[in-house]
Amino acid sequence: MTLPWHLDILGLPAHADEIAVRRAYAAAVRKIDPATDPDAFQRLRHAYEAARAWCEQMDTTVATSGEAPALTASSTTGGAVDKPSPEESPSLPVDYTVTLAWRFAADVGAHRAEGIPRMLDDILVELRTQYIDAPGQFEEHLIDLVGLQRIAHRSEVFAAAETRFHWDEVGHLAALGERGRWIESVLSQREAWLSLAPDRQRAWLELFARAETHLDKALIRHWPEIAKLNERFPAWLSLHLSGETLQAWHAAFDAQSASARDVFMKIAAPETAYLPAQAVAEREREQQRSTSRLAAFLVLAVVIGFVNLAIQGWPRSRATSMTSPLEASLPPDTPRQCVELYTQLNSPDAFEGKRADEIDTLKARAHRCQRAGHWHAQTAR
Amino acid sequence: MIVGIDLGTTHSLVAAWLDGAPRLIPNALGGVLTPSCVGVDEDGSILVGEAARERLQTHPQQTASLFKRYMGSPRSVRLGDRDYRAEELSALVLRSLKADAEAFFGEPVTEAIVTVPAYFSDAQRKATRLAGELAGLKVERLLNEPTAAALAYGLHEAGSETQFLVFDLGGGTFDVSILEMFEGVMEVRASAGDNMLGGQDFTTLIADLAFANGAPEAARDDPRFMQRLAASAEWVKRELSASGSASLDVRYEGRSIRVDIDAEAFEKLAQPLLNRLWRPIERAMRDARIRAADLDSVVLTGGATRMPMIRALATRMFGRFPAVGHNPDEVVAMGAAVQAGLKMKDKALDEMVMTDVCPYTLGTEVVRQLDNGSQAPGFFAPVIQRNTVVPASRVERFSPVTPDQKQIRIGVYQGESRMVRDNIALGELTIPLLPGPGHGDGVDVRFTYDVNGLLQVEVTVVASGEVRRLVIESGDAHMPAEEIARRLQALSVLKIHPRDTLENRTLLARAERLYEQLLGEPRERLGRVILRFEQALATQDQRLIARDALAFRESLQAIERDDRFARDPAS
Repeated sequence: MTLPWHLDILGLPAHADEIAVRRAYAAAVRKIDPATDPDAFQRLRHAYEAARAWCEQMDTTVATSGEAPALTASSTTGGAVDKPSPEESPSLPVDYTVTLAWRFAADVGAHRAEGIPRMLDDILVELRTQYIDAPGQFEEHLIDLVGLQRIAHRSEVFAAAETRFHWDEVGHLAALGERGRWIESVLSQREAWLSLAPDRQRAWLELFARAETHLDKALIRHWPEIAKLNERFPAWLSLHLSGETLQAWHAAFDAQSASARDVFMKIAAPETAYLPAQAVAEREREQQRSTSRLAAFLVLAVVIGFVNLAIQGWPRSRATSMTSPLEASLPPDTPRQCVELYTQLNSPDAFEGKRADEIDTLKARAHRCQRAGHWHAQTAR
Repeated sequence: MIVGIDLGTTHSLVAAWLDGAPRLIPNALGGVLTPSCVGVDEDGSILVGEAARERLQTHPQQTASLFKRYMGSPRSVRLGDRDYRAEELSALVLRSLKADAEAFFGEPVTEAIVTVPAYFSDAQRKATRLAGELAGLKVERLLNEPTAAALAYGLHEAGSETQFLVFDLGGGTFDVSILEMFEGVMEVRASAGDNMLGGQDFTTLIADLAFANGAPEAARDDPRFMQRLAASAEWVKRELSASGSASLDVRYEGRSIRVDIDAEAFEKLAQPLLNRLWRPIERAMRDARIRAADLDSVVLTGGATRMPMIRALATRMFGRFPAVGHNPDEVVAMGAAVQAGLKMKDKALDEMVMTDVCPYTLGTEVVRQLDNGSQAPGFFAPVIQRNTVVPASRVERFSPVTPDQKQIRIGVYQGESRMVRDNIALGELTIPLLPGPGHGDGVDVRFTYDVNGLLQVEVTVVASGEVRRLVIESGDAHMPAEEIARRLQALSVLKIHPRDTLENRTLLARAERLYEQLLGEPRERLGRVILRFEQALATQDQRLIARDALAFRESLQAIERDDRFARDPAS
């Protein structure tokens, strides 16, 4: 067996532990002057960081596989928006910030959306009377509440939290790990959403709100549009529509006769409705003029990947992955179903005794959950 | 001999590695703290340090202070008949420290380690380095202040395995660093900070009380009053730390303004400033992936951490009492001396290695594919993530947006926003692309960040192998080489007040300041004392001068002690 390159550079055997890695690094780094030989330092540093990450991973594999965060532990029961109740409180030691997060969720459920920024400000003041970890812990619980749809008025909560917890900072999102990646999906999908024609946005938002209060018959015909939106902006949509509503909507549509479904598909908005309004307007103008003036002098670049070692797995390029037909045909999963799915896939015998098409279905669902940005993807790997 | 210099917002220190330990070097007045103040005397000579600080109140138009706050910006102040940039004023302070070190060692000193706030930007670092150059010092290394504090602290912890946090609240800047130490390797895990938060902001809060309690707004335009108020507020701040209550006493146009304040009210007043301390700490801790319980100790440094409310806050934040035992004003300079010892490969430091990080995210501008398949420009693509260990070098490959694109523009940015428009533009470089095979391969962009925190960018066209380098010349504050030479020349002809008579000059400046603060009979009495000392100086009889200086100093001290309008924070 060949040694991993990082252990090789550090001159360590395959069974090296963290202490050995640090010792080897400490010995090697003394022989290098970073100011005069930055390249040698770089190589050593890469090896050291990779070796430490490797040791850490070994540690977590040995230990009981990553415990679910406090909030997800209790998230397998109950409706979309739950008030905390004694029998439902997390089984892990209830720390102060969890209590505060639940209280916030309850307050948001009981009040109008306008009060959310002020409520969050009050909580920040309260957190600052605590220890230094408290704001960060609360923030993580809050992301979980929104991501797992365990709080009402999610888009308002997201908007209020965004400015207060620095979700516009790339470094902060990177440090937040999977949670940061989910926020990043919401932000970039929102960007795309906001480029749509304003009247379309308004009309759809109205549909979401109506569906959330009561999924009446008149809404069923809109499903083809909702399905398309869910393909393109799943994380953003999850702030407005609960997984349960999506599923019910899909089921109600499927229950229609084939001819009715055909009609609904035909009257749905055209493909251009999902493109930026500006681009659509330009395309129309171009067609009218029928002269194509190609922008030959574009002065920007697109990221395609990175050459060096990725020490943090931050998604630099977000290639628009195409949805497979299988994915499109399956009923949507709620965030919680995604969590369950990942737990299921995480077990070593996940595919045992399953037919090929069942495995494909599981994979397609997992892929879609991942695109929706549910951070639990990490445990599925 | 390499010296270590702490170039601070309110005061500066010089230290050296001597006989296996860091040692602070005294200035001409025998103290180790030299106020970062520069003034022009009546005869046109330059006064640096205590004498200039005393003249802030009597000659505000001829004196400058707190200039570290605009390092790296094009702003300048007029002193006498000439404009000075922050770099030049800092150069004058450095020159004075250099003279102190030369007097101490009896040999020329030409190399220095200069400390900067960890969160100083590229432009601010370059300005600091330039200040050294203008002072005739080769800046061997720019050392981050909390890292310097950690070096001084870590010296005593050598051999142990520990994780600690440095909380550095200085006169004008706030920095946090988290360090890990093992096997003699001291590693900065993460740094964060606020370049516009320091002890001065707390002083300003107290000074503003005067305007809420009777001082007319028009008084803000009176530089003498403002300096007097600032000094009084500084005194109140210190008194609050020492005894828990104090009163701000100032006179404006014959009217006396008095505000009583206690520690509790001050803390309430300072709440917005205290709130700003949280974010950098939270950020550094998250970046280092540690929690309060993982820290073995919390080290407070910077003069402003003397305030009890800061100590109380730190105690609550980390659930433990912060480490004491170092003088918070001196520890950064001591650490700079340790670094000087490391640089000189001193045997006593044989086992010690230190690595630091780049506290900023550095990257470039890209067009991104949005989730509905459309493209949007203006996105920030990080190349070097914040808190990467330096020296660091990272390459990213970028490809053209369209197949017929003729050139690629690489914009270089520093910041945290997802959109480049909200980040700081450091420079840009346009590189032509040839059509044909390999066009789509684009370019490799390499960012290199050195141990001093300075950035270099290199772009290679993948198809042709053509290489271009970008020299980051930090924006509007950049000085071309001819300009630097010109300013160096201009500074070298400035007449510096002779070091050997600086002590008496400082006494006189202090007396003049007191004279302005007093009224009536005490003022007349002081006038007579000043006259006598001036007569003594005129005799040029060193023995007589020395004796008179002693008596003169004592009478000044008596006045400062007894008169509530004559208080001075430094006495």
